[in-house]
Amino acid sequence: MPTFVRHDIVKLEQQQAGHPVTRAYAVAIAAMKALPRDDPRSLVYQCAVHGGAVEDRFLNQCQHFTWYFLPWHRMYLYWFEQIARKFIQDSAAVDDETKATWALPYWNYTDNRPAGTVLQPGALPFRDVLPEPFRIPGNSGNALFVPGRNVSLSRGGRIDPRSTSTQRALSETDFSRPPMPGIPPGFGGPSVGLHHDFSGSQGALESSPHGGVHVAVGGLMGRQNQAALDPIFWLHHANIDRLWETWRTQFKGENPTGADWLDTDTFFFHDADGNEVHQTVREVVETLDLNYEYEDVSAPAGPLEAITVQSSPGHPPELVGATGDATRLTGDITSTRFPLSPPAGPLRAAAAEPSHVYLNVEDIRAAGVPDLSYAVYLNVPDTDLDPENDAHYVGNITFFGIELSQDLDHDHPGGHSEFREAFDITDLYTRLRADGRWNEDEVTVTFVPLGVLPPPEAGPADPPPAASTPITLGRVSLFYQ
Amino acid sequence: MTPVTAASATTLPGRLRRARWYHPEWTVAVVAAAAWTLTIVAPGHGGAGWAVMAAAMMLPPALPAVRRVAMSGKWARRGRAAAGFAAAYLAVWALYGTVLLACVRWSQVPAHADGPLVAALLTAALWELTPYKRRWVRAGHRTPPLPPDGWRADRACLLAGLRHGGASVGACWALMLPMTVTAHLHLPLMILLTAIAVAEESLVKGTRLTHASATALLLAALVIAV
Repeated sequence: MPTFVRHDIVKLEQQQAGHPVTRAYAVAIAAMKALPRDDPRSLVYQCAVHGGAVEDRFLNQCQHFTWYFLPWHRMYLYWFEQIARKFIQDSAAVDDETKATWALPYWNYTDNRPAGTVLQPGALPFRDVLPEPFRIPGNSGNALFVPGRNVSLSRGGRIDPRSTSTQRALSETDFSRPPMPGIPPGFGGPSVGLHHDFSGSQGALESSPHGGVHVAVGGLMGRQNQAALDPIFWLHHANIDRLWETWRTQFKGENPTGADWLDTDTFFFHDADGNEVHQTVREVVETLDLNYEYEDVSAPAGPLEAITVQSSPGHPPELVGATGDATRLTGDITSTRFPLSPPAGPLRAAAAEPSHVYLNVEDIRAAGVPDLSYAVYLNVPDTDLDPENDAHYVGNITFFGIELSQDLDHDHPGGHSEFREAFDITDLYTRLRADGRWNEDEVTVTFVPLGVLPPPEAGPADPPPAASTPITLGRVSLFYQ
Repeated sequence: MTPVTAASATTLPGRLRRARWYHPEWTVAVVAAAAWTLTIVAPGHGGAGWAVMAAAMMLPPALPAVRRVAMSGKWARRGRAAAGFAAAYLAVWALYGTVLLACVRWSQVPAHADGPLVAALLTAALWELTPYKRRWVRAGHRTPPLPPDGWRADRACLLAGLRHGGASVGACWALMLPMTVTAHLHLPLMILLTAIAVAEESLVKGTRLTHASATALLLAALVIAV
């Protein structure tokens, strides 16, 4: 069995607009769209595998908010790719070389070139622009186009670079941590134990860039039960799968080694002939065992901190301050502040400084499907977006899948727990203290909406921006450990 | 920075202290154990006896929620938060028990016959198979965040306990029927019903156990009927 190479679609399209790999993908999507919905190889059925109203061992199985997020989506992509390859190999419209080598391309959207950058001839196109073949309207027969995506993105606008940032995820030290109030769940999501734990946190990679890109693309991609109907979904998740390899190989990130992750749960899919198949995590931890690899797993350019594994402090985190009332986000820059009190638990008993500091945004609720993510800043001197504020940047809160956390009529792998984000801000805390800019009595948290930057050419008929879906943050809090 | 060391974690006092830090719900677990002891050694009658039995059976499934509430509040308030939440939770069960006992007395259910017990077990089995059961279980998988300080924190703990109690009664009301219609303590049945409540309410895949629970309840009804 040959090893297939998943290529970067931005580079493919730079080499040749309408690259044969892209066109073959469109052929496969068109064939899958044409199948009846109860055919397990149809795009509608494949979407229902990710999420939908019908649940069985194949359907409504997407593993979000757990440590199965990455391996389950690796399996999901693998079987989707097998089905797509079969349709490509059966097509008369695809050349023999492409038939023999085709693999699902990935969309690496992380681009640190600042807004306003003018591209020189021959320069790589902006990565955070939706690739051209996905933007040509469907009335030209383009199977890769779907209506309803973000208007600016559809016209060639760039996703806000903070939404595609991999910095927080790739600097995570642990793949997974047990759920506990205050503590971030790690790179890949919280471990799943025997007991329900009441805290529905996303892993760092699941939150950003995964969730941020889903929300930025919008339309079908913004809804968990419909996202896989958008052909860009599969390229987005190929990139998330690639970033798992980046974390593992470039940052020496270590996957869990226990049987509770590797062997306990079995997941069910269909192969290219529609036959039932199943896999455990152990079978997918190495991409070469699945006969594929990525063209490039190097880390994105930009500031990244090396992984420094810190020993566990041996005591739980404790709350030192929180908002008393909910914070409402409606698409504007919003700040909230709350008082801090000295620790009263083990830290006080030992007269010790905290070795870890965590910022939490808890009990996040949405009145609909959110159309914006938010960047989070701590103790920002003011609310403008000058570079000074970058030193106060904490991370993003993203809301992909939040509608299902409020759905009590169906089971979801991540449960029906509180939707929250937890950030390790120890480095920021240390830096601000060293600069004498940490206020021991009060903390201010600022939320800045993250949208899509409009394309340089003004559109003739841009619709006015719609009112943003209101988001309620039940509590913003700070924990010391 | 000087992190707190876990140097004493290998000694027994060190282990106990660490267990207390990570499991602030231990006080409620002690109350549940005391309720079990009291129910077995000196089973009470009427409303008081029912309330002690409900505490024994329904506090264990609430322990993860108690832990969550206690650990997400200020350190000095952990015990208070656990107590307030658990008290409000039990108050909802006590209210349900009052209504249930009144209904049993009013309907003059024969206390020493097996028929009512079998009927109660069949009712509980049927409830397990409804989608409403799973919906109530899911509703109990979320606790709201609490204000950090003052009377608002206390009030929020009580409200969270009431809400969790409501979801628990919604999910498990039928499991308490068999224990209410029997005149004497049926210890194996009490253990079975508590195990079902704990498994469904506190395990990650609890909602997927309802068919197994219904089967167990049907078998129990069959054993008693035969």
